[in-house]
Amino acid sequence: MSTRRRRQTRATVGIAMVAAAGLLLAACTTSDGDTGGAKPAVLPKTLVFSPLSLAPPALKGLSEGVKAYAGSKGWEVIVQDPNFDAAKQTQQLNEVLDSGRAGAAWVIAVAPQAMGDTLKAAQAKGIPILVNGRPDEYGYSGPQPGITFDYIDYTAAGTALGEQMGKCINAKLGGNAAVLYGTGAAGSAGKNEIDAAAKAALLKTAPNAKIVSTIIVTDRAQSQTDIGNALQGNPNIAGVMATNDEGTLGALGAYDAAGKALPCAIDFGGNDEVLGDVKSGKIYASVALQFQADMTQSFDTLVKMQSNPKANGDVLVVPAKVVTAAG
Amino acid sequence: MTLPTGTSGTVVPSSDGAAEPHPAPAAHERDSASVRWLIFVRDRGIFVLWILLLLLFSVWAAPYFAQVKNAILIANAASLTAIFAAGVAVGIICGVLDLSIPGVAALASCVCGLLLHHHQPVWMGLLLGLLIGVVVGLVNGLISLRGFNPIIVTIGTLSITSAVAAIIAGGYTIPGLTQLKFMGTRRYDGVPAPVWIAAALFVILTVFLTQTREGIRLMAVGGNAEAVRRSGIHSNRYKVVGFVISSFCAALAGLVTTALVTEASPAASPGVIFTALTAVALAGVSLGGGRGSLPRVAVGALVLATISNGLTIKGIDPYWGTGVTGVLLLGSLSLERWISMTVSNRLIATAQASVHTGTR
Amino acid sequence: MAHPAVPALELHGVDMHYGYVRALDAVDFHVQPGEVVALVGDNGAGKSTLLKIMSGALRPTAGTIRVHGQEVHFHSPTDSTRAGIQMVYQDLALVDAQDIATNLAIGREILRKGPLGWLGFVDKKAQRKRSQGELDRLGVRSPAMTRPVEMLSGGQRQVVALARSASRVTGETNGVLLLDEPTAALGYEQTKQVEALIARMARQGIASVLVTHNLPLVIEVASRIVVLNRGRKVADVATAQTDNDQLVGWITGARPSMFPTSPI
Repeated sequence: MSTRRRRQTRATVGIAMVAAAGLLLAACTTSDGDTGGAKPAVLPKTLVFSPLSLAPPALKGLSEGVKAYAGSKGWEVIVQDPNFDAAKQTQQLNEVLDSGRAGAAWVIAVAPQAMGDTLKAAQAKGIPILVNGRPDEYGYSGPQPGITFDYIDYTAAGTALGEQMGKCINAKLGGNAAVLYGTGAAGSAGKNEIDAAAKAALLKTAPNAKIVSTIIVTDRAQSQTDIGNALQGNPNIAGVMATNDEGTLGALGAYDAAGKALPCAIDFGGNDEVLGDVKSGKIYASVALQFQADMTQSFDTLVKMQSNPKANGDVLVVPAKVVTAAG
Repeated sequence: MTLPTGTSGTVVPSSDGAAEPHPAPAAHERDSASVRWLIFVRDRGIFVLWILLLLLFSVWAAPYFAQVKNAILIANAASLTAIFAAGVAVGIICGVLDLSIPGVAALASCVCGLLLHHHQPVWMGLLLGLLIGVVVGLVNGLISLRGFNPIIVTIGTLSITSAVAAIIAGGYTIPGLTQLKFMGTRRYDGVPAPVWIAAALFVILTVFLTQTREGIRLMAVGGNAEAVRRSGIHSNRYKVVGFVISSFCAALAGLVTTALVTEASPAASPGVIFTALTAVALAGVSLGGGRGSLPRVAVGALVLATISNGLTIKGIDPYWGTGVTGVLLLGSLSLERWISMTVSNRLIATAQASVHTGTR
Repeated sequence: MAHPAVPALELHGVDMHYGYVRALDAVDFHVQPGEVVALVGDNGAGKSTLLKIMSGALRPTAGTIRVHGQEVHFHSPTDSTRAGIQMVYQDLALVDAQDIATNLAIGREILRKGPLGWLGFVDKKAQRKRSQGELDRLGVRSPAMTRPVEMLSGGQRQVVALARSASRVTGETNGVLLLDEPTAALGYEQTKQVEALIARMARQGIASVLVTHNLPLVIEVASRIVVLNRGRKVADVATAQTDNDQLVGWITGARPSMFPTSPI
């Protein structure tokens, strides 16, 4: 019995020693590409993409698009899923930045104010990073070395929205109409900017038009019901402008169900179904965010930055194009 | 009126002991009128509430509220909630709280959407969508019966169904499903299809629960599963049926939503549980199981839709509606409690004298 | 009343061992149709165990069980139910939300005639009539068949539970009713009502085994009393031939067993 025990103990000790040696070896040979202060090693052509979450179809689609485009340029893409958890996002990013796997990072931040340390870490390692939002949302006043900001210009979008609404009213309704405004839920990104800009632009373009009803639009089926109810209370609403696709499509559904025509529907967003409706004339105009173009510009910028990490990054704007039936 | 005495009441010993024939009891007792009236109010109170709301809004939101067009809008909005609520209610009556309904709805609509997108016939898409509901219900039921906490099981199913729905939809939504308009925005005899569908569902389920042997047993299992088991019935089978009905309703609701917006979306919105539960709670369905009336649940959904509709017409943010509903819910709970106590008090007076055994 | 020779239920030589513990030791027991036999004893004497064996919830380590002369082996309570034995549990097992008629009908619903019946539609009127008839036969005057059971008093509920078991027990050959502390939670008035019901059921030929601590109930209602003490039968005597003191003596062990100790 005791001999067997001794043999077992010896085996255990042996394994432990091998394991320890292995760990030691691994620790010594791991390089994070930064040999302290000297010129950094060549960054890998690997992009880490961290959106808010992969649950919303749009973001899932974006990640697929990024993989495809980067792949076509010979890059590898690591897609992370923080699932709307800010702490998880920074932790995941820090891990991949520390390990040296990432050569560039593109982040749609869950909480911009929590990104401070991660941004600094990326700068220290010379890894270019692109974040969605304006510089001031991250605590900076302007362009930064190694960081590119890419934001949606909600003010410009709102202005375009209001202008198109006014144009449509002038063209089709003699400049005078009751309008329903579909706005985002409280706290949604850019809500205040877009609301203010849209209302101002409408006032300027069609001074006699009046917003008689404001509905919060988030879910298509719910928007359809709510706008239907609003229409019942204001039967003469002839124009609807909504700050997201769900609201616009819901409005179309509501009018269809009520058997009424909606002469002026203006949208901000521009998904495929909306663009199709613009072509067929159901929607007068859509301020369509050009995500495809934005993706390529973002990626191309990151590639450029990788070759010159100390230079200031850009401040990009997601392109938005007003799409009408004419084109 | 409350305390029966004399011939129709207290214990009356018969004259001799052994060898008497079956004593003919005096007229079989009926509950007193006041007790019956109180039970009526408890059971129908929500109808009264709804009628009051209709009157209130008719005056306040005139002239747009009290129109046939608007009634149809309200009914339409209520239908969707009602279908979800029917599933939740049957589940609760059966002693089951099924939290997977948003996922099932999303999955059913994505499966149907995918099939229609590939030009398959409409009936096949609908059939498979409903079948998904049945299958998920079976899975929920059978796993729960192994002894796992049903709430956790359904949360797990929620995650799984949402994930599968997202995979099926390929990360996007499936728009353009105009083939489903016949059960969406189309009207038959002026009434939109979802209203017909919800009405049919409620009629079938109500008849099932109150008139058929299996339905009555289902409700009994929800009330006291052990008691039913001791009568020689397999209670567990009925719990599974409860899960199946719940998921089936969720799948149906998902399909109707898709038909209304002609778009299948994998985004399972957990908010539907909240609205459905609110309608069920307003209807006074006891969370302990074993009791509940589906028509009241339908009225619960109508109450919610009425409030939302009325407030929107008046230009008030519908979020206020949520607050109003909360107040109503608390109010209806208090009313129910008051009625129960009053009924008990009335009955205690009659109970002593009601059971009359023969001689000794 | 002359009792037929064959007992409705007979247990012979029943042992129940849990390891070294003898819950029951060579117990003989029988009850004739129409008889009410009380099974009394202190806590731990083995009354509940014996009752469970009769209901099929427990299998005895040794011994035989005969129902109307036929030897039977119970593997579960369902078997005993099939053999005509009904147990009325202390928790009554009633469905509160349903009315009296539905509670009495569960498991033996009456379906409507014709196509509706095939779909499973229940004939509520016929059920109400049947339940009313069953209660009438038992001489029970109850509230309306449509009254929900939860709105009944404790005594009324007990009566409904007893009536349910009694209806199930009455078949071609009258069955056996096992009653586990039927008056434990009841007041004086209600106990009286239950006593009357048990007596009436006995008159209809049902054999009843009554497990209780309530000696006045026993003396009032039982025709024969069996006393258990530490797993052994120490007395089996007609009620008329004994009294409270003797019973208490047997229960506590102060009084010696009626039966000489059999050699092992």
